Amino acid sequence: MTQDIPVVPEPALPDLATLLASTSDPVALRDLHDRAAPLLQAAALRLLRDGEAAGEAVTAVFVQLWRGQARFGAADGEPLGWLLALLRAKAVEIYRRRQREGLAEEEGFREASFADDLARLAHNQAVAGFHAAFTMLDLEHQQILSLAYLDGLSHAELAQRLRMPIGTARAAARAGLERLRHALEMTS
Amino acid sequence: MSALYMFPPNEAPMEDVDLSAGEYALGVLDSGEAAAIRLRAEAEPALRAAIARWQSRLAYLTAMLPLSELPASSWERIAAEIGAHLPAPTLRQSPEPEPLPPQDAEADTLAGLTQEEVLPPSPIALPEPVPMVVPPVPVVQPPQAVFVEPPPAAPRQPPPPSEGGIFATLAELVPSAQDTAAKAVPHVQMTTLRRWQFATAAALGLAVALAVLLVMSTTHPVRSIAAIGPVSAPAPLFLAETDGAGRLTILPLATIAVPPGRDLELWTLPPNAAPTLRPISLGVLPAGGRVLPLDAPPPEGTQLLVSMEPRGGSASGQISGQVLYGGVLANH
Repeated sequence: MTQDIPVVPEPALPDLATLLASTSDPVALRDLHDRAAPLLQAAALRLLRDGEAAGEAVTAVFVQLWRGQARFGAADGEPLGWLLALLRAKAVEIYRRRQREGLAEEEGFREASFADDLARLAHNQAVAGFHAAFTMLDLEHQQILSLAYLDGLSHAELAQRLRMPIGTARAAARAGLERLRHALEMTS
Repeated sequence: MSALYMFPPNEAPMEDVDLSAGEYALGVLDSGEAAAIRLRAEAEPALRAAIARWQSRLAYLTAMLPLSELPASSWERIAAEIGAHLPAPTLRQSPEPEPLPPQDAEADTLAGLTQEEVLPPSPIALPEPVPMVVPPVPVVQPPQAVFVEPPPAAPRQPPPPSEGGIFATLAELVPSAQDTAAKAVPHVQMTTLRRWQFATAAALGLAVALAVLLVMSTTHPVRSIAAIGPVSAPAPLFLAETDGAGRLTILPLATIAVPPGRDLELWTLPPNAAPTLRPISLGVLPAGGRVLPLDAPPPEGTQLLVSMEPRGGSASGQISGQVLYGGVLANH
């Protein structure tokens, strides 16, 4: 053709999985940071309840990606879930270290109101489908899933916090997962 | 002793294995139990997939988190660690969490996109391909050369403006499966829609640029048509048509310049494809188009994708390059 009009596919929004495939490229890594770091920071802050420690966890995730110590693959599901799993692993490491150093807060940390948490979930139209499923769970199960996933509580910590035997906490967490799965299947 | 231990590991009911994967993803297991699951997952792809599925499901819970400021030094801290010297990013943060504009939430569900192997079935499962009514695209169009190089990594584009802080990030990464009912999208929303198609595609781990779809308002029962193009193009680059004889004809609507050593490859996904189904190759797509004899006419809703592959097509039989264009067959 005599008239060459280049039409390049839109470069503005990088694809997360593509970015995750090229994390040794600082530009891609920074793009990934732009997209994902705010959410990872928020998750880390809830897990660690300390801004400095949260920043350390987020940094560690990206350094790990940069060094190729964690590689996102086709079997890893959805990029955000995978990134959050990496973050949680880092946060656990940092939390344990801070515990040893006497820096980690112990009890009475959860000032965040569960009602506020639920309100935020309800107001986020982007996750309306999940919200619809989640509200089908008993409040107890909702809270257990939230305490475990967002606050990072283990079975033993759930038991202590909810003042129940560990076996009961274990069964409740499992029932919460089972009901969530069922609700998601029903509402999808 | 719990019921789980009454079964040898390989005979445990799937239910229990899936819930163990859930417990692992939820993070409630003690370090010994978690290590045992991790070890087992290395040998069991099904368990690994179950864990990935739970990680995706549970990621939604982060929508409960309050918006927090990403420290301005966040990138500098990483850059210092890795020795990269890049300017600080323009952070996409808004002071207040804003609800997403309705058209965005809607557009988010509209991508008739393909999906990666282990995409969770719900609620992250793909919405069905939704025909999108746009003004009829003129089939006769001034030809233009189109370069199909992947977008350059640099120079860096500034991030798009914030649409709701971290929650927008969440929305991009974890698309809602709600509201999947077919909706006509006015043409004026195309810019937004394109952005969300990309965002949704990103969430699916596949850079599908779903093009303008063409829905013709005739009553002809057999023929299907799809327009295939990139999001940035004003009009489709290919027109795909099926006819009564079961042939699929791909016609270029513009002159396509494929880089040396590369070929375009055409892929298809049936409507409502199972999450585990990968696109099926229909072979290399010459820039001049192609007529493909098919055993059966592809049903409406069939997705067509075009990726850039090494010369001769992907060696693996799976998409290995970037998916540049896509479209969905609609009856007309």
